[in-house]
This record gives sequence, C-alpha cells and structure tokens, in this order.
Amino acid sequence: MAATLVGLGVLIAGYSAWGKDSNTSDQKLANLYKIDQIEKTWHKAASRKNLNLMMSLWAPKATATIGGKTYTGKTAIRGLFAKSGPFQPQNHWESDTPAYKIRATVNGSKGTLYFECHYVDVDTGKVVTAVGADQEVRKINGRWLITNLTAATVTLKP
Amino acid sequence: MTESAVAPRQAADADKRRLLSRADNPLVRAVGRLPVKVRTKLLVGFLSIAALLVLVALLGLRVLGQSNLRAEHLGALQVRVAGYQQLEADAAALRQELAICAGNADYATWLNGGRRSAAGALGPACLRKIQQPVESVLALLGTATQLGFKPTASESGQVRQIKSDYGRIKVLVPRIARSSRASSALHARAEQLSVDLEVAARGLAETTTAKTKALIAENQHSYSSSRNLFVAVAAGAVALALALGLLLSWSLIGPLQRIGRRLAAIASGDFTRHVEVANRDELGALGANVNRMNDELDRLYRELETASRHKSEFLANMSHELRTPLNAIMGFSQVLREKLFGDLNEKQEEYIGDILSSSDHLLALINDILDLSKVEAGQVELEIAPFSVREALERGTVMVKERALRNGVALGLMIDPSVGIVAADERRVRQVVFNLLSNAVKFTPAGGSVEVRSAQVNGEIQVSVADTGPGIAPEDHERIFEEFQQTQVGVEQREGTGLGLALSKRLVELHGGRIWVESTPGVGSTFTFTLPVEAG
Repeated sequence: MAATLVGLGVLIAGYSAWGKDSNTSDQKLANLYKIDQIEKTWHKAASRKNLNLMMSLWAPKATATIGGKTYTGKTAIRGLFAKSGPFQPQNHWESDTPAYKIRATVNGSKGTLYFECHYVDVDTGKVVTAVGADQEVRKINGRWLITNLTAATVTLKP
Repeated sequence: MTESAVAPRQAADADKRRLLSRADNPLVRAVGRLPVKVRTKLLVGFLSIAALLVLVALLGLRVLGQSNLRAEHLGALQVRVAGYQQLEADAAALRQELAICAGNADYATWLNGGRRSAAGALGPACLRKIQQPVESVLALLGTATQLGFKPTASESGQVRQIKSDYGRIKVLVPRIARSSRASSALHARAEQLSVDLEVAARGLAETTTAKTKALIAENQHSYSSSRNLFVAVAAGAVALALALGLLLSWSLIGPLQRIGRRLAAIASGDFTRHVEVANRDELGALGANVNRMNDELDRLYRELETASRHKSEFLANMSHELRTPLNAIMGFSQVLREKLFGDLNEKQEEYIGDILSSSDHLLALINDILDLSKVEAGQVELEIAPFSVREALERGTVMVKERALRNGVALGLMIDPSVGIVAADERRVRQVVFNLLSNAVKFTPAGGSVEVRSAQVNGEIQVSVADTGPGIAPEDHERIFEEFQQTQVGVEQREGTGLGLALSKRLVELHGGRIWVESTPGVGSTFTFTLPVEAG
C-alpha cells in the first residue's frame, strides 16, 4: 500500500515537474542567449578597440586571472585590456567568433561561459594569437555580467 | 396528417415508451424470463459487480506498478545525472586550477600588446605553486569517479576514457610541479586532458539528463494514458454495475408491484382479473399461485353468496310458514283465556298463560329472524318518506313506558330543537328505537333511569339511548352486534333472542348510518345510531 502511494506520489510529482519544466526551459534558453551575447559583445569590443564596450560586460567587483596574476575591480581590468594586443592602435586584429568556440551553462541567476579568441591580423591574414577563458557570469539588475575570468588554454576544435 | 401516417408514429412512440418503461423494458422482461432462481440471479449480479471492481483494482495496481517501475528508473537516472554532473564540476575545477597558470606564448603576446615576448611562455614559477590545489581537485575527482552505480554499456567507454585521462593527469601534475620553463608543454597537455575530462563528463551528464527528460516525458504520456484508461474502465464498470443492478431490481420489483396491486384488488373483493408475471423464477411461481388463489377465492365467494342467499330464503320462507300455525295457536289460546267457550280451572288458566307467553317469545324470535333474513337476502326495501324524528321517538318511549314504570325505571326524552324532519323508513327507525329502549329498560335495575336524546351533529341525526344498567365489558362492544350474541347479563336473565342489536345494525346501515355503544361496566351504557338527514 505504501509503495503504491509512493508510486502515485512520484507519478504526480513527475507530472508537475514536467509541467513546470517547459516554463523553466524557455527561461533557461532566454538566459543562455543573453550569456551568449557576452561573447559577441566581447569580440565586437575587441575588434573595434572599444574599451568602454568591453568594460560594460564586467561586474563592479569582478576579478580576472591571467598568467598567474589576478586583477580585481573594473579599474584594474580596464588597465589590463588597455595594454592588451587587440586594443593597441597599431594592431589591426579581428576576432574570429564561430559558434564552436563557445560553451555556456546557466543555473538560475548564475552561469559559466567559456570561449576562445582567435585573433587574425587583417594585414597578414594570419592568426596572431589564440587565447581562451573560463568565466563565471551572474545576472545583476537584469543584465548578465562577468564576475570572474580565468585564462585557459585554447582547446575547442572546429 | 392522415390516419395511415399517424398509426405507425403512434406505434413507434409506444415502442419507445415500452423501452423506457422499467417493467415493460424488453431487457427487464428477458432477465425475468431467465429460467433460474432469484437467488442465482442476484448471486450472478453481485459476482459480476465484484468482478468489475476486482478488474478496476487490478488495472489500478498494474498502472501503479508501472508507475513505480518508472519512478525507480527515474531515481536511478537522477543518481547517474548527479554523479556525472559532479564529475563534470570536478573536471571544470581542475581545468580552472590548471588554467590559472596558463601562460603559453599566445597569452604572452596578448598581454604584451601584441608583441612576441622574448621570454616566451609565462609563469614557470606559477606552475610550481599549483601542485597543492591541483592535487586537492584530483582527490575530489578521484572521489567522484567512485560513482556508486554501474554505468550502462553505452556509457562505459566514456567512463573508461575519463578514468584514463584522470590517471594521466595524476602522473603529469608532479612533473609540472617540478617544472621549469620547458614544462609548459606538459602543462598544456594536462590542461588539454582536463578539458577532455570535462567534455567527456559533460557529455555523460547531458546524455543522462536527456534520458531523464525523455523518461519524464514518457511518464507523463504514460500517466495520461493510464489515467484515461483507468477512468474509462472505472466509469464503464460503474455504468455496467448500475445497469446490472437496475435490470435485476426492475425484474424483481415490477412483478412484485403487479402482485401487490392484484392482492389489494383481491382484498377488496375483485376476483375478475389475473396478475401477469412473465418471470420464470420464484416470482413467476408466486404470480401463478396468486392467480390460483384468486380463482379459488372467487369460486368460494360465489358458493358462499349462493349458500347465504339460500339460507336467507330458507329462513324467510320457514319463518313465514312458522308464523301461520303460531297465529292459530295464539288466537285459540287467547279465545280460551277469554273463556268464550266456558270456564277454565286454575291449572288450565296457568297453562294457557304459559302457552301465550311462549308464543309471544316465539313470534318475536320468528319476526326477528324473518327481518334479518330479508335484510341478508336483500329483500328489504326501505320505504323512504319524510317523518318527524321527535314523534317517532315519543312513540317509541310510549311503547316501553308501561314496563319502565313496572320496573321502577325513570324514562326521559331530550330532543334538540335542531332535530326535525328526516327522510327515512319510519317503521324501521321506530323498530331500531324500540329495540334499544326495550333492551335498556329490560337491563336497568329498579331506581335506575333510561334517557333518549337526539341532536343534529355534522349533518346527521344522532339518536342515543343511555341507561344506568350493569354496563357492557369492552371486549363485548363489537360482539353484541352479531347474531345470537348476548352479554353475560342477557344470558343470565334469559331474555331476548340475541337478534335485536344485529337487526338494528343492519337496518341502520341500510339507511347509510352507523351504530355503536359506549359503556362502563357498573355505570351504564349508551347506544347511539346516526341517520343521514337525507337517508337512502
């Protein structure tokens, strides 16, 4: 009898979960789309050397760890990018952003994002550098922002 | 509409009504005609309903069993999903730890404003620092690989790959810790392995999650199907049980109602029809027996009627024949007592007196029998005519006045002014009044009283004769109105024939009235009869 009741309970719970799942699935897809937009904005900012646009992706107290060094806060991170290759006026780098270079997850108002930057020198037509990064993102005031970035080896293959 | 068109329509309506009528429903009749006992029919009906209930219960158990199996499967899948997600999380943590010191030439170029660094790769010192955190993550990864469940055949290959990558990373980490600038390649390899590990774990987690979702979807679909099937079967079972119950009950109640109506008709003296019960069970037998009883009662009733009529005719004839010689006896006895043919000695006078007294008694008896027989034979026809109740009652009291005086009984008459003329047979009414008065005077002891009252009550003339006699026991109140029945006092006094009250009752009822007695033993009695103002 108890097993029967438990079975019935699980069945009802499964039904309820399935009913809710369709709603949460839509929300999750919407959030994933917005997280995906971070990568798009990133490369747009890098290709156009738009530092403000790049910094619009970061949370106020974000951290970035690259090459064993951690940069904390938007000012430090802005300094990091100001010195980086893509933002130098003499470099004509465009970032190749195909879909295979990105991987994102979402869990409520938190998520993870990994993507790679394959910079092509438009003058020579060659890949100058390829870097990747693991990021933690969070929905703050309705916007998805990077809260933590850790540089990673480029791994994704076309 | 022509008559030819109306007739088929009426026939169709009649058929429809017959189908909807409980007792005339062909199905009900068919059940009734089944040649088995009612007990068997009820047993089959109950067993069928029980079988339906068992069927519904079995179906429910089957549905719940399947649901339980799916729930167990779902639980196992969720355990696997959790295991693989943990594996993925650990691999991601490992990759992050390794990435902290990611310092290949590309990063150096990126950080250095796009210029190739002469130092080449970054962070050999960093690489030496990461051994501790990487080993702690590897320890977690090692825990996560103790999955606690057996991977499926399709997952086994990936799980083996994860274990292999895990082992290789474990070998590489100490080498990286001891690294110099030349070990950047080892670091990159370890990082690549950690990515492979993460990808493989994610693949497993996603595949298992997809299976979980598919199972939940299947559960939902299966639940809907099972629910619909269960509801349909349950509804069908209830409908069938109801139909079966109604069919059985109608096949029993219909015949019982018909038999009940027929018995009521028989009780009211109608033997003209038979009850129609098509059942071939106990009710059919009951119906047949009721019909037999009806026929037998009809036969007996007719015989009784004939016998009663013959008896009354006989008594009427005999009474008439007896009165003729009695008149001669009484006449000649009176002549002798009057000494028209010479003197009589003392003894002869005494005997003549006895003859006359006995003749009077015999004549009264014969007259009463004659009247009663005529009433029973239906030979009495009332001669309805208007007359004064007051006068009739006064004459009645006059007739018993002498005997009342002789017995020392006071006689009173009280007539309400509302009592006037009534249409009835005056002679028969006076006969009733005389019977009641003579009984009252006869049984009231000296010093007592007899009072006649009359009033109009509820449209009827009510006449009552009250005495202060010995009274009548309650158990005799009905019996004294039957032929030859007397009270104990009457029997002891050896007066009367026991026919007077019976005759009075018949005569009153012939007028459409009623007669009854109210009495308290030792106090007295009051006999009352009513007459409709318009009798007959």
